[in-house]
Amino acid sequence: MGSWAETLDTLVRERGSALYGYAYVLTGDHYAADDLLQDALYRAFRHARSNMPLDAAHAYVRRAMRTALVDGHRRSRTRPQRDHRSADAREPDATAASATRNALHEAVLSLPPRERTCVIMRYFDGLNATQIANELGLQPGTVRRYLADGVATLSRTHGDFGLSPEDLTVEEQETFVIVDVKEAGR
Amino acid sequence: MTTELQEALERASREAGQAFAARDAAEVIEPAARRVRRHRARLTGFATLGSVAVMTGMLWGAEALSPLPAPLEPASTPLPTVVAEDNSWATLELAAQTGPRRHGEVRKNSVAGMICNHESPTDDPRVSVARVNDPTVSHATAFEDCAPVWFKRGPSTGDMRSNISITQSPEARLSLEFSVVNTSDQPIEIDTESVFMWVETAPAEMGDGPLATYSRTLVGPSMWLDQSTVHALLDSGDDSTVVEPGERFSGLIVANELAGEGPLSDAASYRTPLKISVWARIHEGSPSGDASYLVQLGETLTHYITEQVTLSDR
Repeated sequence: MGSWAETLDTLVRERGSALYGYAYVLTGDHYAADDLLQDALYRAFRHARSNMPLDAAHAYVRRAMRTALVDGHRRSRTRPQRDHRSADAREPDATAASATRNALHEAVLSLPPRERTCVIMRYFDGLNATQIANELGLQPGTVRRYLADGVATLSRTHGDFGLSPEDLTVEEQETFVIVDVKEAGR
Repeated sequence: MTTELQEALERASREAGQAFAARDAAEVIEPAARRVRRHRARLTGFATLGSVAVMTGMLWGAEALSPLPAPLEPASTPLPTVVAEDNSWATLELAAQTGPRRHGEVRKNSVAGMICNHESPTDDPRVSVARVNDPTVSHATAFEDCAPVWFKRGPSTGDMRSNISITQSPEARLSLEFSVVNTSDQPIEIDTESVFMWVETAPAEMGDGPLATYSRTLVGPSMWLDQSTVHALLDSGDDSTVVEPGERFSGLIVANELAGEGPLSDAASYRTPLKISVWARIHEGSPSGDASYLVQLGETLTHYITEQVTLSDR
């Protein structure tokens, strides 16, 4: 067994539950979560160096799942198309906390892929807009728009569950390296 | 933070994770491992072909460096014995001479180009994006499946203007905003889903580290190391755009990688000069879908990392 295969084996045995749980949060469907995790494992290990650390592999598989969702690979086969109406149609269940949590997750799942991914990265991963933007290769302003749209949709269906506008604007310091052009020519 | 939503998502994750724990992990491991093995076996074949291509390019180096590359002779023709300098600055030039295209693309030695090699026509990264049929990603191409093999100089473009930045936190990210003018006397049809950037380092600048390896790895399975993605996000919403003579074409290219895991992180840390060029697939004679080439847009620019500051996004 090669080193990458050992890492793959260890990753799934030790972190599989967390990764699969994340895939399920993203997809809301066990078959789709299976597909998403398989695809992410493939993406992570097809070019992997032999000594890829377990934490790096874990982080990459999570990231590959998010990227796949944003890019629509999974959705094209397994997820419903963009449909705000389905989210708006869901009625909040104020009598059962458990049912409310399920309904919340289902409402999140009904968001378009990019909004859904941003909302999950904000409220499940705890990342701010800048971090989400870096992760997905989007502009921070674009991420904030996705978050705002997603939260607006959720608020229409779960108006009193406490989504705070401040959640969308909390930012952390980030280190930038500025690069200047000094010379041109081949 | 909104705890109710957090709790809902955490609960969903926890319950799904518990269900997964009750399964046999081999059900997940074995199919994934089989798929990875197939892919890696295929790439081994590509790498072998690529090495031959580079060796050929080295032998043809003197002509590759000339302003107008000479037509490639049949393989049976004795090759010149001139060996060009083998370093990352020269790598792009060295790669100008290689073998034929694979999927019906017709090589014209009088026209510049670089192939993005792939296993089958449907593996073309451009095609895979088109298959998604998602209007929100129609301008993005993931080049992770692109195995660039060869190119020559393309139609004349110039007056390259670019603005570039590298972020190191939370992940390394290189963003390049650029614009370039069609300085030729004919329209250039650019496949807007295929624009990407190429990053090189100076010879020996990075020793044998990942960036040096990366910048010399022209014929690898990807222009980027593992755990990296490259997306080109362009202004145009069309599949291709025609840039008339004298017109300017602009776009934004973003490359991401896990912090500390690849060449972008190294570049930021070492503050090494970076030669960055922009490339795109162009269609020859149109219409879209006909023979196409990957060519350089504008001039190669050298960037120096000059300062490090801390900003907050607002």
